[in-house]
Amino acid sequence: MMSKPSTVQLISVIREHLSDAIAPAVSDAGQQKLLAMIDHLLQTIAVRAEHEIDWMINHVHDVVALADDMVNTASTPGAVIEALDRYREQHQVSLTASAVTANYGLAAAVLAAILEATVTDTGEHGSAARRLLQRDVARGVQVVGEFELVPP
Amino acid sequence: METSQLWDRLGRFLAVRGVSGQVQALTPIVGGFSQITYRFSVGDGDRQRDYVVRCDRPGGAQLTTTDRALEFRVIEALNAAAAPVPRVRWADLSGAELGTPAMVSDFIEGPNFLQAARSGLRPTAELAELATRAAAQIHRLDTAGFPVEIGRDGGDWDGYIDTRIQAWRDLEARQAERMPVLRYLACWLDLHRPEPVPLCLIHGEYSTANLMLQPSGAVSVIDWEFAHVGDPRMDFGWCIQRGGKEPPNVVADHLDLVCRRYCELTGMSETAMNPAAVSYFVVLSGLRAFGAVLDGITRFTKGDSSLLLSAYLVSPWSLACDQWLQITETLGSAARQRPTRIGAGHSGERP
Repeated sequence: MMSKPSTVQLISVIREHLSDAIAPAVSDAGQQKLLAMIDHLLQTIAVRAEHEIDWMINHVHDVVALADDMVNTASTPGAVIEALDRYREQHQVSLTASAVTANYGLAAAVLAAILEATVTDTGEHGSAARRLLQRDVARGVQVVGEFELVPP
Repeated sequence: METSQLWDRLGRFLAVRGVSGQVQALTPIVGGFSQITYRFSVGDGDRQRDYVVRCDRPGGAQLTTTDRALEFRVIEALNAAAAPVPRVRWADLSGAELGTPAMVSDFIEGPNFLQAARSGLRPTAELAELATRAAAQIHRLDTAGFPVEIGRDGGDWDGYIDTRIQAWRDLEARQAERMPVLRYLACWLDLHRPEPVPLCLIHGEYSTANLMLQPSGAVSVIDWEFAHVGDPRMDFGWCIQRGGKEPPNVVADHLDLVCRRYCELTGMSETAMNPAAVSYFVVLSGLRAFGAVLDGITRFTKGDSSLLLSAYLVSPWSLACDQWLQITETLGSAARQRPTRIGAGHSGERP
């Protein structure tokens, strides 16, 4: 396969053509809004193509490490142990997007259980869980980039 | 449905109701995520009247589903109570005549608050004041003449909040994958309840896009499909929520003023109506719209829908999550120093 031009480059040129060649020819207000939505989606796809595998792998690693630390050092709620066991049973050893996404989903269940167990906790595990959540949400914001709502 | 078809149907619909004259200038009003709205004129010679017809979107293009018949009855009750609302004239609730469930109301001349703010027509502080006054007027209405489906004022506040928080948990449980942010927010909302206030009629989608500024300076509130009996601070929370995606954020930018004026207008205490309490409702109110958004995204993920809008709305969803987490951090820090309800004491006054 050819890795160049990159996915990001391809998306960038598609956006340029949509913006410079297609959009000026569209006069219908509804279709203009549709084009604006498509352009925004392409913008997010470009960011995801560049970062999401790396982000998801690191996130999964950090969540599982936190859960392991909880199991090793504290009285761990059953929900956390169950979610962690499910992750260990079902996670896939592959770097395909679908496998990484599936692993990310399993880790999400682990993080959700930790957050629920530590919501009133000002200690290390609760703080660490909330930092992981904030980082994950911040990455979602990074994917969005510049944004102003386009009503349909 | 094509505009030309609606044009023909509207003509017949109005004729049956004794409205003479041709339907003219049927034009879609762009904006909004739920229903489709058109402006049109009808009449002959010098006797022209302007209306809007508000129609359900076609089934495949719907993001949310609400009951047009209920909305019609709510607006009728609002009209009867002389609330700041356009007068509703006629409705085709089955869709037999207009091709889709729809209602016809008077057209309100003038920009909405969002347009007025962006164009600089009025200072945003003035718009915040007007928005507060309109909210206070709505929240003080007696719901006795309203459809029972929206609830009755004076109900159990904790039960109301419990239901809203449980809705967050239910929303998370039915998604394609687990969502830590929702699970965390549900726990946080449960732990950081503000001071209770009496429940009352609320708009449910109070935003600058739904507030019309007439040339006379009067305010008219449109789009009542989500009206229900709830906590009045939800309307301000939603207004800030929506304003974050559609700047300028009129209420958020003048929140101290809004809270102070609302207390003056309604008699609500400052311990119940303050920026921290409203911020709580920025989070809690998110479910109203983002529940439908998230369900739409999940249908898209599962291949049950190919609605581009659902894919697009992943972005505002992501921004909303960030906004909510920031609120929990800010209010959480304060609450850790004062581990009680947001605000202090108890407020028993009606808004």
